[in-house]
Amino acid sequence: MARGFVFTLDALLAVVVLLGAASGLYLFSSSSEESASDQLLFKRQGEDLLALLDRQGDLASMNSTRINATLNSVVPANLEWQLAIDYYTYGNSGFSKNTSLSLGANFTATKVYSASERAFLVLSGRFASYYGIARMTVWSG
Amino acid sequence: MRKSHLPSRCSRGQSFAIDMVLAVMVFSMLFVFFVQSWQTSVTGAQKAMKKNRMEFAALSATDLLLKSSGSAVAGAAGGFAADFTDPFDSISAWSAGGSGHWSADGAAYSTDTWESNLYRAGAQSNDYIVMAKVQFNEGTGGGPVIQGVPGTNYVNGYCCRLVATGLQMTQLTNGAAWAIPGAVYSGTVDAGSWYHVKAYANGTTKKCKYWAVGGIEPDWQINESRSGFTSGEYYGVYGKIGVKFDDFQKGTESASSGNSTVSMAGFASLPYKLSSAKIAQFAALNYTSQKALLGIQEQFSYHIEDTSGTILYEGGNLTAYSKDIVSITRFAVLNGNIVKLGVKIYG
Repeated sequence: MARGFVFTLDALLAVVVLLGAASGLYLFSSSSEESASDQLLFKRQGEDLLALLDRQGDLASMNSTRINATLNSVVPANLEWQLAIDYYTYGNSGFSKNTSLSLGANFTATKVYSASERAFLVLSGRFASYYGIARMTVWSG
Repeated sequence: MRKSHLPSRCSRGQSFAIDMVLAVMVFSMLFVFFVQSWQTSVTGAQKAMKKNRMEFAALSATDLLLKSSGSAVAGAAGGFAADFTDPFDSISAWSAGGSGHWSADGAAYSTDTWESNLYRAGAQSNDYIVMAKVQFNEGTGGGPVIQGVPGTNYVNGYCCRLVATGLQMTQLTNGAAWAIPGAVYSGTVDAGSWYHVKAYANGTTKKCKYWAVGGIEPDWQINESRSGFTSGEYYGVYGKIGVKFDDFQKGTESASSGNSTVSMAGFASLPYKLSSAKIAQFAALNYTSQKALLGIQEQFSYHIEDTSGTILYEGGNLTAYSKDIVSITRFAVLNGNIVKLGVKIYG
């Protein structure tokens, strides 16, 4: 093979490798930026939803139908969610789990998701009958 | 057969030259391709960064709107230099119209008469502002009135009247009040809540506005040109049983204006609990102040809708358009109901 062709092929390969590296770097950087902002939005939306459920008394109701209805009325169709709530009582031996609720879709591996957590009380008069922790995972549907 | 003059084989030097030409051509094409690709990459990265910045700005804006539970702080909006301020403590300086009777009611003043004026006369003037705080109670036949815009006596003049649906400008002629057609401003007015009501007169120009006590003073909401009562000396308030007035002021418009010293404002009275009054305060700010408070550089709009999609409030630049739009939806409670807060930024 002539020396010129070898030289050309060599240069061609070098440029192809360079372009590939540049494209890869760009694609990686842009996709990670999108993930960051989406992840933050999902976190905020999860926090919003937990705050609403707490403020509206849904978490304290311990009623999965009511909680489901509230979330289904407000969560946009492009979002999936999963909610796990644990209710604890406090006695001489400390906290013990009394009831658990698991609502929403099964979490599936997805490009972007975020989880939020909120602690709350279930009051009976002036006293806390249950101590609750709600964990919500939000991801793109 | 004719013999070719071209050599049947290239010499080594010719082959090398052809190789070099080919190499230069390939290099040139690759160079152009590389530069274009690089430019595309850079432009794409810049667009992605801009979109990212807009998304974070929208998210921060919704954070501020949902969680700003502090009171909004207003500057000298509207500009006002007081001639005097009277919380009706020096009641002897005031006169009650007709057979009306007014008395102290806590820190405020109210009438136990069916309806009555409380007025006083001042220097002849045709360029002044009167204002007072009013605890709203519409009752029968119309809400409380700040009168004297200007009045030739206590039963003649222009007035700003607070009603359940907002604000009206009315004309008082020989004691009979009638609403001026079209001189209305729609807004939220809750019974039992306190509001500032402010009236301005300068020749034929008459203006009115109102806003919640503790809120941000808006621009004038009613601006009319009326030929009657272009000067006068009577001013005061007019109300019925259940209405309270306080902190009456008379003065002139000063040079300072705008809400430039507003330091914070949001929609929430408590985190995630939106307040109609605070939404109204924010809506009353001019667009530039709204953008500055939210830290948004581009055009933006906001809306609050219920879970069925009915728009309850909207504001910002509603006619903005761009191919690059970032839209953020958050969730909150308004009047006990779950609502969605949407913010759009147009790149």
